Amino acid sequence: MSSLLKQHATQQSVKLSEIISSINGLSPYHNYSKLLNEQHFYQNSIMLQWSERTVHPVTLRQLANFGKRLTKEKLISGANFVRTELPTRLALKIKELQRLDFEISNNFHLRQVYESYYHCFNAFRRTGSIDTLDENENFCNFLSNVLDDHLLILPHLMMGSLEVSILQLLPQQKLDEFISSMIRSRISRRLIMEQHISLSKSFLEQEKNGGAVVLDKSPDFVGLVFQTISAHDHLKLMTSYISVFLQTQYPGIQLPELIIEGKDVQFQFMKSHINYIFAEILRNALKSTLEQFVQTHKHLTQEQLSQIKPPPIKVQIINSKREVEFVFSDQGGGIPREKLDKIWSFGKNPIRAAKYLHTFHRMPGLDLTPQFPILDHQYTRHGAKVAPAPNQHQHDPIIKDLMHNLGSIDDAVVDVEQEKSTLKSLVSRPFEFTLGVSLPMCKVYTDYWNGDLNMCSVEGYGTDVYLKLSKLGMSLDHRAQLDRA
Amino acid sequence: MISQVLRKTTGVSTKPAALHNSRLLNSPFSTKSKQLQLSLFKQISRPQQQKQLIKGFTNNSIVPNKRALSTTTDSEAVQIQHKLRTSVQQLIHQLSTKPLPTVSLNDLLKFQTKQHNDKSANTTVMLVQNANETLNDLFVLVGKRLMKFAKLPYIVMLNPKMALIYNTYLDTLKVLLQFVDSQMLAANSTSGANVEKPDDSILLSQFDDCSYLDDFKIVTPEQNEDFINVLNKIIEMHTDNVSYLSEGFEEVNGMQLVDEKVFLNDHLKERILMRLLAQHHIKLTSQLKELGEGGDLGKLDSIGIIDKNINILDLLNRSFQFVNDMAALKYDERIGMKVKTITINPDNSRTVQEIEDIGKFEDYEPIVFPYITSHIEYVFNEILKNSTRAHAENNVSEPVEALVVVNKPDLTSPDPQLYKLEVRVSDKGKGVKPEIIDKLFEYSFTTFDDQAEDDDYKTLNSGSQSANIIAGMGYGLPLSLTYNKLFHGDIRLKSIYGDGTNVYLSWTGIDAKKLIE
Repeated sequence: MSSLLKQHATQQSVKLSEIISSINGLSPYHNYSKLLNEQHFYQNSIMLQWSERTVHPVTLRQLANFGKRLTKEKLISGANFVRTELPTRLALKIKELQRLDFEISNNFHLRQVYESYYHCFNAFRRTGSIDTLDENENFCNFLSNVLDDHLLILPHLMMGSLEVSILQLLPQQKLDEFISSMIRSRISRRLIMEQHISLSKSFLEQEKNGGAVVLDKSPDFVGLVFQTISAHDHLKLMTSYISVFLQTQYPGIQLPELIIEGKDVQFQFMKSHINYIFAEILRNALKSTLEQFVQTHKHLTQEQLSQIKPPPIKVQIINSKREVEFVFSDQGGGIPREKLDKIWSFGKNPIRAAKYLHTFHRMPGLDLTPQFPILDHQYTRHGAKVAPAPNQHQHDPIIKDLMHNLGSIDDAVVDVEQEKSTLKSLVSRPFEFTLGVSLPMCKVYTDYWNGDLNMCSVEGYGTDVYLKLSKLGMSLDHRAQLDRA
Repeated sequence: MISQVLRKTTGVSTKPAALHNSRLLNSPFSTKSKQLQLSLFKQISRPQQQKQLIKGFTNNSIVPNKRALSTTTDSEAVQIQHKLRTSVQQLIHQLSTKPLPTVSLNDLLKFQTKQHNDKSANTTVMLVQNANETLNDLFVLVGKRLMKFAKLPYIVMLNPKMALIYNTYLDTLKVLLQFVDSQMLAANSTSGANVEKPDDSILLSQFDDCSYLDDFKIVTPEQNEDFINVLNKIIEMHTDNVSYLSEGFEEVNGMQLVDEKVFLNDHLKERILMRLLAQHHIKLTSQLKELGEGGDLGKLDSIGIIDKNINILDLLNRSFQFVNDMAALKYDERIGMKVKTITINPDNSRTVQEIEDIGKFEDYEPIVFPYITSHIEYVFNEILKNSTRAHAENNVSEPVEALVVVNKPDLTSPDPQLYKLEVRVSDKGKGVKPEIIDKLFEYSFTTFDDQAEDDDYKTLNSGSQSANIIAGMGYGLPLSLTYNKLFHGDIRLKSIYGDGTNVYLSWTGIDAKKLIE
């Protein structure tokens, strides 16, 4: 086998017989799969029924109120809400995948998403009703497993969309809508699960402390999954992490400074999300500044180069009652207009898509063997399979790292140490792993919270990124409908 | 109900009984169906690549620029996998964009015309050329089918019946490619081309370049023999799949995700084309073999699938007896059929025959119409099924009537002399309800009552391969129409509710001059 691969590597050629033996891979059924077989079609009616149920949108008000006075009854009812809401939402997504063209959903990556979701759906709908605190604890373990297992979904979605782009199976706009909608629903589902896990934890602590729940009573408190973010602190923190990493890439060169204009703003947001968004924007700014700097001073020696300071990154903070807006300005040489138009899209033209996919394929430790760990993590009422505590998830560290390479936006960060390590991995993703998805992803996350992300560029000079975020606490009065099922 | 008269798929095949018992295979849960599936469609999935995890890449600390990329084996393997599955899809895309082969009856005859025109025409050469055209056409047809299926909704394709059909086409593509591969390989080794080490397949220079298909040509009679085997295999693979397709659609129609009519019109037409082209080449090969090199094609009874000396009365009789036998089983009655034939002579005079009992057709002058026998047979079967059933169910004692009009070509004329056949089948079976008339040519629509079955018919049915359900699949009329329209024929139907139904069948045949040119 390996000699064959060497042959491939050098000749970029293939045997006709290999193409021939790949043909059956296009079939709907697959040997490795416990789901994609002849019975599946007939068993699907259950899922279709669930997909007809009403989805209960989760508003910020509910999230906030829920946390304010926590009782056992509330917690249990919350558990059952999650128990039935999740399969309903999953069913909607599954149905969406079912209605896409066969050649799209049968894509190697997308069908793993399909299968994962289906197994997850089955696991949820088989959970019996939750009536005691013990059962709730088992249920929370189960939820943690689900959260962890589904870390792999994002890479599969990304790679699937790139393969679809290469084969041009969907027009770009439809592909964008599809992927964005999948990610948005994913954020919602995870939010609901994480909220419940956090609440259960708080409740248990409260019980231990033998007192009433000591929750944040600040007027703009929105729920446990949200934290107070200080804009200045976060910007500085992200920049420092990125700079430390960058220095290793560009030793001997001074790094661009971060200049913040405008007073600090404290607002409620989901820490992991804001980390991701800031990180991506700042990385791009810093990276392009350095690259441009090196480019324009090619004629200088290393020595001379180290004497000059590269242009700074400027961040303006504009605060208002309901929103805060950030403008990131760099002098990184700007982006051509044609590229700018397509920069928010998941769908790329075939050549570019092939390039990005190639990058994915080169990621360390990439293991594309179909795996569905949820099949082992079923929830049962009595003496549930004891799942390891969330922190010690024995996910292969490499896979976890792969996720961090994508931006581990999904970890509801629990402790400081974990946060640090998450951040470090986030920013230290090597530049050669340009996956082409970070900006579209940022946009999805920004849009999700009713924010806005835009980019304008002066070709040959630099780029301005406009990030607008709604102050979530302030929108409690209005029925902030942030949930997309 | 015993009137489960045999359902006919296209072509009159005589397959061994054991192979395809549709009843058994209908259950998705039966082990036999699984076995059959497995044996038919061995899913050779690409062996999972080894999981070679990088040692030492376990910490989150920042690693300088020389961060280890995965080893060549790992990421290359992943890339190869991707490339392979992409190339198959691209191949199919490319094949499907080629134009649909246009086949006319006169085209099919070109062997004979060519030979007549050019006495030195080498039949072997012509045969081989036909082989290449057939191969090319088959690739295009398979590609188009696969593309159409690929655009159906995912959940529809997860239906086992639909999956089965799709897999059959995948296997067809496979079989064709394997043929090309083995032939190219044999050619290479005999020509002593640069083969460093014994290879088991042809190396392609590019993944997404399928010009090797365009370049490949069958050259020798031996290659043609191999090709014939491939064709036979393909025909066999597809024999029963109309019934599976109809079951599949029955099951998926509830979801209302597919326009059945549009899909089936194309599908059935292309299926007919595939079989037609394959059978034509097979028959040509064996005909020419019998004749020997230099033999005169004019002496043959058939050129490929075109039978020169079809007697329409003979076909009518055969169909009618066939259908009557089934009716007798269920209804315990025999229906009669009388035929009036009109032959339009070259001088425009008419020769008329009145045949009281079609069973006695041999006493009369034959009605000659060169054509593809199985196509006419299928249509006669379907139409007569309906008429006989109508008569039997309504206890009508009169015979079914047929009017047959054909022209005798004027071979002395300089103009082309197309054969034309018109048949009007009239029954007094009380007609069709007005509200149903529009639905008659829909797929999956049938007036046949499935519920009133009893068990007796099942034993009768489980016998030979052609033990298909005759009435009740609902494909008879639309499929007949597809057959006729293939070569510019038509079918019209008019019914008077309470009285009876007239069906007007028309066929355009070959240019008679081609047979003597």
